[in-house]
Amino acid sequence: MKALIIEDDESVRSALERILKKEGVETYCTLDMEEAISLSASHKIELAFIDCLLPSSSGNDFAKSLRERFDENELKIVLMSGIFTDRQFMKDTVNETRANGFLKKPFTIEQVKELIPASSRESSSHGEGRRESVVETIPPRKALYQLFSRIKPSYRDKKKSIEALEEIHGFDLPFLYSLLVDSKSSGHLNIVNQQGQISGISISNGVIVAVDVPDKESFLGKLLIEGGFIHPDDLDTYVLNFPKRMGQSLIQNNLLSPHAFEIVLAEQMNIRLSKTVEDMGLKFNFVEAEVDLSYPNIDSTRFETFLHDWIAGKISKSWLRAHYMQWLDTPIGLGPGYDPKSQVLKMPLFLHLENIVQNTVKAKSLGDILDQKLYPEEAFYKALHYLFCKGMLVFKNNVEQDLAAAPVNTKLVKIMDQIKGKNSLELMSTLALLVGTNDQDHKTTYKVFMSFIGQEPNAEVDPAGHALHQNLRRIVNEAYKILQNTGAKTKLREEMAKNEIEGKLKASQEFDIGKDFLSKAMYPKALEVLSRVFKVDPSLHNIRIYLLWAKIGNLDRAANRQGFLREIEIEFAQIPLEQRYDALYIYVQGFLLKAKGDFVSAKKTFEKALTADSSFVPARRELALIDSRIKAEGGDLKNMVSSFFKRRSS
Amino acid sequence: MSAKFDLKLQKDGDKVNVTLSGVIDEDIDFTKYPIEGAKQIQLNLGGIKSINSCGIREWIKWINKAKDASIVYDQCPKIIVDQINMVEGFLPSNGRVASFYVPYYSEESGNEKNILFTWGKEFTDKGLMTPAAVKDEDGSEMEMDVIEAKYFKFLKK
Repeated sequence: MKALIIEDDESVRSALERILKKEGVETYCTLDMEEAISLSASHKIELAFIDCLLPSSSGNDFAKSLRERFDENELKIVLMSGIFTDRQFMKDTVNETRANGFLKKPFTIEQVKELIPASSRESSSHGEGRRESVVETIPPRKALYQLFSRIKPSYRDKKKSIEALEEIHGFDLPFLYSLLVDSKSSGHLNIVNQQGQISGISISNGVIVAVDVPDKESFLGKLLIEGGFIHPDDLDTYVLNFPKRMGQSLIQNNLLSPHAFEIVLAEQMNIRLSKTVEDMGLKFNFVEAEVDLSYPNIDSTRFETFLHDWIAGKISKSWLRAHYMQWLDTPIGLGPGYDPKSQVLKMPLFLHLENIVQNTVKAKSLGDILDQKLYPEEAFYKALHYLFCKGMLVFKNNVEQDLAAAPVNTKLVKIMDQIKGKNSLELMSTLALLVGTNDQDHKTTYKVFMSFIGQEPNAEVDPAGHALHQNLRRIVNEAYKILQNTGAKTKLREEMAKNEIEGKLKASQEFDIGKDFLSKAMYPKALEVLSRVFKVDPSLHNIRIYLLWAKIGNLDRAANRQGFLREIEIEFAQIPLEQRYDALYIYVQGFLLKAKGDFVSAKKTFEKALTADSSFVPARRELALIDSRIKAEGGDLKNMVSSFFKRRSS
Repeated sequence: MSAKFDLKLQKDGDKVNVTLSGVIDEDIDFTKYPIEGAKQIQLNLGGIKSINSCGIREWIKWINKAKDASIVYDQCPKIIVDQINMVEGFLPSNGRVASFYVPYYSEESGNEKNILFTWGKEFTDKGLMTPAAVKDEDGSEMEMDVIEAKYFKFLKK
């Protein structure tokens, strides 16, 4: 028997092909109307599976054209849809097209087999107890994040979930690393970013033992010089002669101690691992292999700190919001990794988020806890993401329930809010994040998104919901249509690139103005300018730290000093690890200590900033101010310490 | 040479046969195995056990030295197919795959098996002609243990 498949979703098409071939049915695939008619005639096709929603035409039109030429006895037509699945629609469509049946997606193997005439099926022994399996059309990225929802995901489950992925976002890496560490994997994770740069990590039984990221700033030689371990002249000699084994050569020639080498290697590993978590799409694969445990390394305990820092400092709020949209209506429960006594809950991310776990699992859904506004939104998303990465929280519902019709309005309002003001490309990127897809031509994203929002509410029962639904569909359809036009898409990209460059240039100039305000202690103006700059280009070097400096400078002007201080401390916890090494960060830490009245610690911290950079003027100035204060109070450091402790005990 | 990697290079006129086994990583010095000037290069990759990101970069640098050769990758294990699919240039434009392994798995017995797909038999320029039925030693049916759309992507290039 021969069958025709008219389906643009590759995963559905290949699943159907597989099922049909197993039953001895020869399959042909096309998306072209003329070819479909020609194939049906020349190859005596007896069965056709047609998706209702095709990119450039309607599946119904395909069905009607075929039916005009082949009657019900010659050709059995089965329509398919994952979006339009209510009874009346199916009945009307089947009648209109004179199809023989309708297959709702996701479908089971048995459902497909039932559509094949028994006489046409080749007998194939399936063995007893063969399980019926649902043909999964859930995006692999979403399936990965739902892994911990399974009662006891096996090592194979985890391995296959990772293998199913082709492209992810850099901000997905913390979860992926966590999964590899948690499942005590061994092998090499190879990564290619959008620029074609190849990097990777090696892991030995859940311990990260190597990080390969071509990065000049953390070049070993540079770190050795910055740490004061070797002289630049010695480095030049060894870089030239022993580029790959420079460290070993330096040790062998007594220019470096093994201990110092290990310290610097660890620092390099830390910096480079952080750099893999970047705001861009990337491809990866995992090669299972025996990997020797070596030192230095990042074991699960140290990894928890890294995970915390990446989520706190690198993953953006907008990414998290879009990512969690797909689970807005899903309740949350305790996961296999949950331990009420875990030290994790004492980490800075959880500072001031009292009872976050209890309140989250008590809530009806993720949307519900968000609506309660118990916590600052960004801090909540970050803490939540950490808990999900560690498997301490899980989404309770199973896969099918996620796709079922759910209260629509809340979802739609939040989606509209996220896509407001965005151009077509930005809109589809947001939707891709939302539904967990990552396709270049947006077709899968479009289809999955349409399935995600389901059918529009009845206009008589829910007129507001109906209008909202229609409006959203119209906006998404328009955006999708524009992006199917290659010329328009290219023009849009070019415009975006131009606007981005212009915006970043202006932000960069304003950044200098903001820094200048800071140097003159003009904190309100500095805060105004730097807040504006941060919105345009959050990637500017150390912008977060400068912003914190401005905020601390405005602490005394805040209406709610304590609340503002709490926010500042939460934001401090979000500074990326690799930005904590230089004088600026240390100085701002000192500035915060001073603002809190801890002059002893502030003085020490400012001195530390000057050790890191002796030319750092603000640190010198603050030290001078503290010293003047001490003199004015008529005491020396010892007296200051005494008075500090007296204040503390009173 | 490191015990974890082995490369045998045989020259036969302007044809070079290369058999690799073991681990391809940062310790491999491919400059020891010159392939410039060869007109045909046959690479038997069946013995490769693993490859990391450093190894991928070194491989691409090495294979690009034979821009004028006709290159054939033979008996590619899954880890090599994964790199061909993911990394631009891992299989150069002057290269083709003559055979590669496809993992199969039986849900009933939990057994795994690698089946060799050869050009002209299980695949051609027109597509795949997968084996009708694959069974393990216990007689249990096995299915392809890959995401087909992803694994066979390189065949479309």
